[in-house]
Amino acid sequence: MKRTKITVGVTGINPIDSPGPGIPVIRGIRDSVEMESRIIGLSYESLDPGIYMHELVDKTYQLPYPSAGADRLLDRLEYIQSKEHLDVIIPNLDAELYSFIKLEPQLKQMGIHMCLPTLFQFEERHKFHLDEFGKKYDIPVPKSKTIYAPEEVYGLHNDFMYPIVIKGKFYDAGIAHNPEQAKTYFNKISAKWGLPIIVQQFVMGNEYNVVGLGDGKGNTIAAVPMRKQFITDKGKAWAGISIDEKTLLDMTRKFVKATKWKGGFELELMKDANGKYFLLEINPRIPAWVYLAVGCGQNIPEALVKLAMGKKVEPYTDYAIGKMFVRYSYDMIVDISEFEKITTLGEL
Amino acid sequence: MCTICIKQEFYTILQAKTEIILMKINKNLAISENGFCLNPVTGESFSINPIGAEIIQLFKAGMTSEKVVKELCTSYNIDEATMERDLYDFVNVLKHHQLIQADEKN
Repeated sequence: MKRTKITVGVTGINPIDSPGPGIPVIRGIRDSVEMESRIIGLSYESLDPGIYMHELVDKTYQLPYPSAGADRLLDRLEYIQSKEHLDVIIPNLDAELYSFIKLEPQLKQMGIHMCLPTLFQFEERHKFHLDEFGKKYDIPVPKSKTIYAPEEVYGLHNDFMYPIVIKGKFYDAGIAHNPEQAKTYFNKISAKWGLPIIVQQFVMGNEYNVVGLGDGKGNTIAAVPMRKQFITDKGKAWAGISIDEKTLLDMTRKFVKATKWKGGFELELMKDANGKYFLLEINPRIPAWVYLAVGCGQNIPEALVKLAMGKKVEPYTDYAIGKMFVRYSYDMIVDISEFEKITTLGEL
Repeated sequence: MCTICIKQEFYTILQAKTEIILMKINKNLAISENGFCLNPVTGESFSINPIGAEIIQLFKAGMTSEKVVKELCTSYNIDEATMERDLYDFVNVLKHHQLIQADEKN
């Protein structure tokens, strides 16, 4: 088979303790038998490990932080495009998605394709809209409330039973058993990720996740459910197993059909003692454990690239059950000259 | 009612219960020769001892609890009352770990 040459920019190349999805996304693209890819890493920090993983990343460019705004990002991407002629960019981090979605028309004019949710879809699934989202699409969600001031935690007992979960708008969460703990988490998380803070009823049970891909027309192109087997102190899966759970797949298809979701996503769910699933979060991008799906026979990164390029992609209908992923850490030896280049020139 | 009669009635109830439950063992349950057992729906895995693995295989083969008890009593030279009690305990463990379906209606 003649392989299509393609240049793909990938963000989130930080496989650290709270890993970005960039490296597993790249591994999926590299595994493709249809595409011959050149991978351009797009990083935010000089010590993002992906910068130095030359067997996976051909070249890396630093991007301005999302807080710098969409204009700065566009300027930088124009420069990168003049050098690399990217066909596709896959943004993989929550905090950058807003800018990339806003810039989609300009990037398309530059010849850069993406497969992202619409701004409406992105906003609607926010943690602080989860209550309304659940009601609108008839998907069970735990009771939640958005708060903006630490004093508000003292009134939470009127609406919630402790323990409750205090969540940041992008990342981080803590389980609070009393108002004092809730206030501590409020201050800690809001200092790092800003406001609002989301209060959610704690659901006791086992956590399950689904990685999926929607084509924007209501079709689920791929979906693989996973149970976390080993969770780090940051709540990240360090090992997991693909499972055969029809309920989760039905919920996923229902979500994609109802929202006409476009792009990769992750559903985070909790199964309570009665066997009922509650949707805790919708992450609007591919998760860091996506390579499990590739290992199970659903190459989601490859399918996403094809969707971005406007190609027709047949939905995956099957996947291997009982496949596991086990994450590990690995020390690379890096020459100081490489660190110098990325730090001073912003590219390597 | 004498003690033996009460005991007998008790075991009859247990037996009736297990008979209903055993028909609901998860057909997709994968058990290796070593007794490693994976519930593909929940992703949970268990190590089951050889007799436990044998019981699950017998249930999966469609055997009723009555036949399982008889089979094991013969194989291991155990009295029926002890075997029934142990089987009932084991079925409860399976139920706790969702290796049999919660719905017991047959």
